[in-house]
Amino acid sequence: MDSSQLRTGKMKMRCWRLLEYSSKNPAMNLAIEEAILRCLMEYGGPNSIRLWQNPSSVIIGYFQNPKSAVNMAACKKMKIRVIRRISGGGAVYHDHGNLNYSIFVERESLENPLKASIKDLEKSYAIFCGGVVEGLKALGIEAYSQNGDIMIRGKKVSGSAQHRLYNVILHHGTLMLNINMEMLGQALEISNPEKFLVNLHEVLPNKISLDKIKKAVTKSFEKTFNIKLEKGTLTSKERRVAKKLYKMKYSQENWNIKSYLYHGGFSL
Amino acid sequence: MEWAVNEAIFRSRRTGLAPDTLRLWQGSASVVLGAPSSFKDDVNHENCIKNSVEIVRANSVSPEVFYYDMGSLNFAFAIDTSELKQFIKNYQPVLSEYQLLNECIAVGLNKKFRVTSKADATGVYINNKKVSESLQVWFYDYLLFQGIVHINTNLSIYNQVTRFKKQLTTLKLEIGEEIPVGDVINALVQGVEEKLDVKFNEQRITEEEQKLIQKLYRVKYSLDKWNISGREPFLIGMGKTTVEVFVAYPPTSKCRELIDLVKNVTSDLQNEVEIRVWMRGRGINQHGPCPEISPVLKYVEKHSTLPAIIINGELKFSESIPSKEDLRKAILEVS
Repeated sequence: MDSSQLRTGKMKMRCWRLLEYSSKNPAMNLAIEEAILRCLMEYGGPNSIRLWQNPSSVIIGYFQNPKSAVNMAACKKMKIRVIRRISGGGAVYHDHGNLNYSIFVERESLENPLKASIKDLEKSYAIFCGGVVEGLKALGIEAYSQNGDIMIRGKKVSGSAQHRLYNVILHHGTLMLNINMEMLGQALEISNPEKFLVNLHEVLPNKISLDKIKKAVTKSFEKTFNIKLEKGTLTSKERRVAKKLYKMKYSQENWNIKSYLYHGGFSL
Repeated sequence: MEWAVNEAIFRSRRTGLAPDTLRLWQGSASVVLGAPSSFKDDVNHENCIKNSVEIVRANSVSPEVFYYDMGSLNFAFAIDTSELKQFIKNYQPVLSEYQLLNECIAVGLNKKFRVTSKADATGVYINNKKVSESLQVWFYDYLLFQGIVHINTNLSIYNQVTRFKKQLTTLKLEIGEEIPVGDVINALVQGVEEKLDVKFNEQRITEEEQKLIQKLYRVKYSLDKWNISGREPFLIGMGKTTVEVFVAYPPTSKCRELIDLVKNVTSDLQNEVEIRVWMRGRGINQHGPCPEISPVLKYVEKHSTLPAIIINGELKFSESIPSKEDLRKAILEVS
């Protein structure tokens, strides 16, 4: 897919890439997130939406201390890996009952008023989460967004975070379909997580397949950004960068566990 | 200027250029605010003008406010506290160090003037009234402990110019006679020597400290921005202009371009400019175990402002690469 054609081609509606690639390794999945972001910033290309899943793992926010945010002993016992992401926010538990969505956008590629709104952090969260909310509404679920979270009947079904690199934004979030609440509770040391978290499968009138949920969400993103999503794959550059990032960062204890050295609120 | 001297000595100590130091000095009538104190709420400005009292601000962690005049003796300890722990029983972080230094003063006063002063972490007291008070600031294990012994301080003016209500006394009031400043200096020196088992060696301010004093006075202690508003310029070590470059880890091509640009622009200013490249995700100790980091870097990191150039603690360029000329101009403006 040639990005220049996508940007300036005859089609009025712009094309973004839809990636549905997941690695079986959670650290590699996060390396891929950063690789797509970096390659978009370095080499340009189409904006992308990635839908992906992780095996059982805990993903901590960039600023978090895993020793206080995560029950490390429980994770070790359950063989759950703890990986740090580049975006802020709190720790999340992933497994195959969770669908992750990631949006990679170059600010300048958007048209006003979207371009102007997305510059503002708060508005951008509302826009990106709004895409998921509309997708859920299309499935008959009364969801709403609230400060980067998506809620159903007062319970959280999705959380999200952002990282910005120059003019490129990565917004990524979770969508809990049928996550193992017991393991989540143990890994994140939360008693009765069902009290404030909800799986989509609990509120859907009928059980819906993962594919149908993906379709609803992608359709909604197409509407939100006035784009056409075309299925694509990782480029060779993205794969190369992801491997490098995996090797030097996401597979390293120094990044995942030790990089947080508190000093007056700094982590760097 | 006197408070610039204290800070220069402290910087000299923490960079390893000076030994543990006790400075004793006197200054004209002034109100001194701690770094977090409020000029508006804590100082009676009208009465300061009426009594020709200067307003200065000192580095400190606490929001204290003092008054001193030529009837006071001021002191500043610039020390490595890791050496103090051997003299402390039932160690309580921070408070024990303060108490120990106050005890040095109390021991000196008690011996010299046959008074019964008592020390705790908050000051030195005679008959439950404060005769010595202090402000403290830390840099890792290094402590700058700055304070006042009220020999014959004008307490009536003290109460007019500050809004703090304190139970204060002076040595003159307690002893009932005039006390020469020299006697109090000797008392303090003896108290410290006895309590900390040290011997003082009288020294002068070094040339390097002198240079720093001038710079600190120019960029900080002579300015309302600091004295009134409490906004502090960020200076590293012995006061070199600091250019902090905040980039991604590993650096992107634009990050590398930016780092090269900063190095290029400052290549002829190596004696005046210190460059610190901070890579997001490399950890706090990427430049050694005791880093000096400007507070604005915390903001920049929190907001993922990549890349960013911070000069002497002020965010000058963000999310873009400045021109060579603009960058050079921004650096020279504060050098």
